[in-house]
Amino acid sequence: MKTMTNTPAQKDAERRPDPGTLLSVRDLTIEAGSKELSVRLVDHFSLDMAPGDRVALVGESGSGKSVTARAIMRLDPDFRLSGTVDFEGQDLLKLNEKQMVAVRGHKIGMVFQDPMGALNPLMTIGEQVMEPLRISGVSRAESERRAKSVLEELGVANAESRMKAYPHEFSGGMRQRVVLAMALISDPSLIIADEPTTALDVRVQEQVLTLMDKVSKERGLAVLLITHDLGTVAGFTDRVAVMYSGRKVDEASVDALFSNPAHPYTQGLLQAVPRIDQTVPRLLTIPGAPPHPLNRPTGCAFSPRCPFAFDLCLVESPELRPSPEGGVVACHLYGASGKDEGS
Amino acid sequence: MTTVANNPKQQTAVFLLRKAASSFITLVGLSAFVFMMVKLIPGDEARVAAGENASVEQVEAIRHSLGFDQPVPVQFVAFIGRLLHGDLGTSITTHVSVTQGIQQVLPQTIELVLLAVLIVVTVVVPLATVSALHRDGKIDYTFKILVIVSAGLPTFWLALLLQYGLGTKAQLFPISGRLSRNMHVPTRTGSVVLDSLLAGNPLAAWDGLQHLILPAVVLALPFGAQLYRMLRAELIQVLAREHLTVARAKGVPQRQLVMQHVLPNSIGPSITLVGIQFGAMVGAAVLVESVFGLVGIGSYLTNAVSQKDTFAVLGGVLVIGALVVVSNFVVDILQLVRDPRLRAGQLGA
Repeated sequence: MKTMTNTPAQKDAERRPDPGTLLSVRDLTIEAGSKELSVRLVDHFSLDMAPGDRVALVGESGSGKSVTARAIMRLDPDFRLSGTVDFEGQDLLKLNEKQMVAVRGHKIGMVFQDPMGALNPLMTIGEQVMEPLRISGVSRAESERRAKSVLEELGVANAESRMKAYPHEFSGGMRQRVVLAMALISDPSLIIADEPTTALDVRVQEQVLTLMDKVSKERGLAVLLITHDLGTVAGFTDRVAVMYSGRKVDEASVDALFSNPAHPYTQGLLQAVPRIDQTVPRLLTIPGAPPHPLNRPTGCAFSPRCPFAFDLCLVESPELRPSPEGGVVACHLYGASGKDEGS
Repeated sequence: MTTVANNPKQQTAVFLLRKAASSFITLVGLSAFVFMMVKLIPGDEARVAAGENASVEQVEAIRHSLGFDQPVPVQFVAFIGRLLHGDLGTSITTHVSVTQGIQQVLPQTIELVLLAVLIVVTVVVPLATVSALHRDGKIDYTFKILVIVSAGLPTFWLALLLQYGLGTKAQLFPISGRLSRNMHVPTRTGSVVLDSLLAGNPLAAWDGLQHLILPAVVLALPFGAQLYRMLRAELIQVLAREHLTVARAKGVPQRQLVMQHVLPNSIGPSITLVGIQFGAMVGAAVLVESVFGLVGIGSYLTNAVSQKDTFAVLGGVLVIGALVVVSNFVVDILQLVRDPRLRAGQLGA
């Protein structure tokens, strides 16, 4: 299983047990808090990504999407993780911190929500972009050359002189390009983007997304996009996984999800998105709020807010089953009886 | 776009000049204040200068010769006038020039305080860092308790304890004095360690340093505790910042994370605190110096105050004030070196 001789050159040549899979998360469960008062933030989450795949992880705040992303990178040492996270043939949850350091930023890059707070205010842009390379022993001259080229690729003008500048001299959109450059410089095979455009204004959002789209296509990068913004999802990804209260409740291709959403929660989310091409008297919202992880209702966690909830929903938590649209869904509406009242 | 400074050197010069001017004003204000305070302390300076057995006529004669019969503002102007010539006046009790008197003792205090600052910084920074990284863990609690207890010990008692334990019992350090009896070093700068080195006598320098270690430790403890608490709190705040998660996600290993991302972002308030502590230590050195049989500006000032030696007090306070001003100046420079945002604000760079 553990192949620890992954130099960048070998990356493509080396074969994984299942060449079709880049990342395979199986039953990832994340718990926080003390042993006495344990909170299950994420419950048996599974997800597969092939090289070059673009998957969106969607959900409200507190649904566990960011926690999941951070758990893949093992960024929160206080969380207890179980399950497996197979990445390029090694289980990341079994690596020690030192081995994990070699994965972070080198094989998996990460982009964060708040570009204003994402950079060290005391280091020059160049130093920060070069850092992943410098850590792995690349010479200064070579690091500078690659930093310049990746910044140029991301549309930073005068990259060479801008590398000497400090973060406070950059705008939000420019900083996000720098954050992206830091994630890309080591030529990873997967980028995890945690709400990369949420903190930016709309025009800059568009620019950053277009850029991510272009760069990931050119490099054949797999992207896991964490967002609560379905608008972002539509233009950018191939597949969507919807999380609710720590569980994956729905997963489908973008087209299927938008045209024929399976889970009532997904339907609700879509109705809450303003559309240019449709005139609705009033934008629909999902009544209520997601439950606190310490206080989940018995049965389906969405049942108190679900317009289609029936007796079974209040008692039994639904398992993931194949959905009519070719994805998976965790909803009793798609039980053995094959009822489909959803759409 | 980057606003590249038209002339960074010029801007730095302007900044330094501005700082120097404000330092000068601070010193003038300080001397006026101290001058007033001395005048307000009850007691007759002329009587002290003349001696207990002097007649009324003799006292008046001395009062006239020292200018104490002039109105206070006139006395102050005369004092400032002499000050500009580097003349701090003559001590009315020892009849030695105050400048000379201070020159003899100040370097020894500075030696002591610098060593104490060095101890504070080299011990506290790693301690606070480990504490913050293991927040609320066993190590953190142990350090916390250790720091609080050591800072809570009264200086004189702690001094005696160390003298007994490390001096008498363990024979690790000399108990008292500035240099062993068999050592002789010609005085040049006044700093024993420096003079020994200048005289090409490293043995004497080492001996002088050993004499300083216990007093410096005693002096350092309460200040170290202060710094520990502040730095630990600041570190914990910085550790929660987003850019540290980003740095970790980039694959920055723990050690480099601490050295390049956490510490530089945390030490700002600590630099300011150490700057303030430097001045406070000069004052706090009095007690330590008396316990360990050292001379210094502290003992000089204490004597001067108790004898109502106007010029000696003024001189001593001014010199300490100047030290504080200088340390603040150094602090400002260090902060500018540390933080590019400050450079941009202050220098327009």
